[in-house]
Amino acid sequence: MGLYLVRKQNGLILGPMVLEDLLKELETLQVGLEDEITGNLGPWVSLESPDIAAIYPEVSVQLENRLSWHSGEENLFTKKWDTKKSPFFTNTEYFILGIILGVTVLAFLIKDDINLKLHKEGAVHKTVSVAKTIDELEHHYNLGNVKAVRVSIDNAVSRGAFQNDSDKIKQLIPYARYVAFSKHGPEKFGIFSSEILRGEHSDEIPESCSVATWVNIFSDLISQKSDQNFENIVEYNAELKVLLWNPFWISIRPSKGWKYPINLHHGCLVRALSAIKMIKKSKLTLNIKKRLEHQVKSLEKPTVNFKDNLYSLQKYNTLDALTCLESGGGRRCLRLMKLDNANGDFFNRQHVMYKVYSSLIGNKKISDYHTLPNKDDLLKIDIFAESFYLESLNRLNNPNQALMLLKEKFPDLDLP
Amino acid sequence: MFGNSDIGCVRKVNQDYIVFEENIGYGLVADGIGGRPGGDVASKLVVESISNAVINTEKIRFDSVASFMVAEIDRANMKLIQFGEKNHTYKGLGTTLNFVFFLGAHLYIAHIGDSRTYLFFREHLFQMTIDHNLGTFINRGLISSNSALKNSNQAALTRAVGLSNTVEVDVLEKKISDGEIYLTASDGLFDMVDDTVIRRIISEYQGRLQDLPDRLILEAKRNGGKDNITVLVSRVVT
Repeated sequence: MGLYLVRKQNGLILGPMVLEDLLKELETLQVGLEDEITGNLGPWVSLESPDIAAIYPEVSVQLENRLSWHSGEENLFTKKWDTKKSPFFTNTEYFILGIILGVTVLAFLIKDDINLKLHKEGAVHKTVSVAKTIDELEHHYNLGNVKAVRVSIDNAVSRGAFQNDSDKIKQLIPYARYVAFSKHGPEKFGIFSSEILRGEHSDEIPESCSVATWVNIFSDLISQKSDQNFENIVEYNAELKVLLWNPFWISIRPSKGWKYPINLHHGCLVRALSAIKMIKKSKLTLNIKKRLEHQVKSLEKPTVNFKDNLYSLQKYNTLDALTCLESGGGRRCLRLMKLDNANGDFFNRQHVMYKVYSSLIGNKKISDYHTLPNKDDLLKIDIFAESFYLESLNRLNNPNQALMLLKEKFPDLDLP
Repeated sequence: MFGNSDIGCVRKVNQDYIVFEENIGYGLVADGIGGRPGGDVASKLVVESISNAVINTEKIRFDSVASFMVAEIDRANMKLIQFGEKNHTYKGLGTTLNFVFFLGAHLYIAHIGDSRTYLFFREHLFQMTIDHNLGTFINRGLISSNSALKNSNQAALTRAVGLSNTVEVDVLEKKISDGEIYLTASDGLFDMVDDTVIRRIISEYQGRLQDLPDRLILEAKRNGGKDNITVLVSRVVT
């Protein structure tokens, strides 16, 4: 049941209270029509303002019911019904309640027709549909109901509530993205083009992250007869560099306007994973699929237990090595890998990065650190240090120098 | 009460300032006006002036709380103006202010500027304070909208501490109830994070309020963190 706050002219705030209590306060003159109310996530509006019908229609209907009974100076706030004069009713309160309920039900049944008529007359207040639509979308999103989210968006757009108002339409985008990146989600739908759904460009993200594009890339891989070593294939398929993305790094990329996926980086991997499940299996694609599953799972369920992951550690394999490190495998991942000079620095960087993680979270050695921490814990504690270290690394391209800067800035950390 | 302040991802100086004392039951969040020199000086000066007054006051009558708060804000305003006059580099410095004071069974909020105090209760989020900026004043009919104002920055402050010799402060009083959570924050939070998201995060962190300020700050930074971010959380336990 909705709650409301009341602001009186002298600055006194009453509530939160349910509508019925608000009406009682009106009847007893504790609240006046000149006072303002606010509901959940809503604006302040005076009870006597014409805007109240659009912003809080449930309140407006009740006010109209109560006020429309008055004749002359008398109204329900000042006049007591004399039940003795009425042969048909013996209880004033039940009579009033019955009328109010009847009008409320009737208003509820015909509200869509009223809105349609008002829309045609250009009198619909867009704020009503926006606030309620967003609330509805949030409810469906929290239940994980993609279909209901899509239906809500389609209804809102077709009702014209968001028409020609780009600021309001922007509020729908996170939910539209949720639909677009869901299993079998569309590349675009309704007013949301693939460009809108994609959002801001970022250099490291492929030009296209559509499922169709990924299917083409992976299908080409299978048909290539050259050595299917990851380092070789990534040279001709730059898009596959997404497989090198560290899940924690993804989790701190910009995410404004995203709910699920958490950002475009995550969304790109989700679509790649959908695509690779559609094509014919090969040793390479199975390896890539395993890597993608680890990345996506780490973002969605950040606890990954290394011991549960069966990685082939006997042979040199870049993707497995990364997954091994990200899952807390530590030095054993490096020991079991055959590192050539080209990758030595990359893996050393990864190793130091995970040493940073474990130092920031507690006095754990990386070899003892078998699970990725809960995402919130990790972000709560180390985002500054991690971001600083990664930025230094990108800038200097020298892990030793980046580590020295990190030690200067965070002298209390236990670092190698 | 739990609180924190962060410089954000873009600014070079933190012009926000926060002080709170759970044992006494008060908190102050101020956001120094950028675009004028000395925003950080202003927020700190005002908050510390009022904070010292609260700490050093022996007793406050229940019927005098609002006047006490206004008087101290007024005093801080004069100090700020005088500081600006003595230090020409800082002439015109100013700050917003949200001053929350829990006394007995009541909460008093003295508010000026566009920092906000919200109430979270039973999954509802209410913005208690009304922003003192151009856009809000036009929408509420407090300023008539003409073509010149329509083209102006709608976020421009219409009230702040330090802007003039007299300060117009909104004072709110509310009877508090068990379970209510109050959130006081600078615009660095809610300009980056939608109210629906703020509500969801508060709901998720009801059981660990000590982590809520940092969580909200993180959300603001993940969305760009274009301004300083300051968050104060107060929970009512009766």
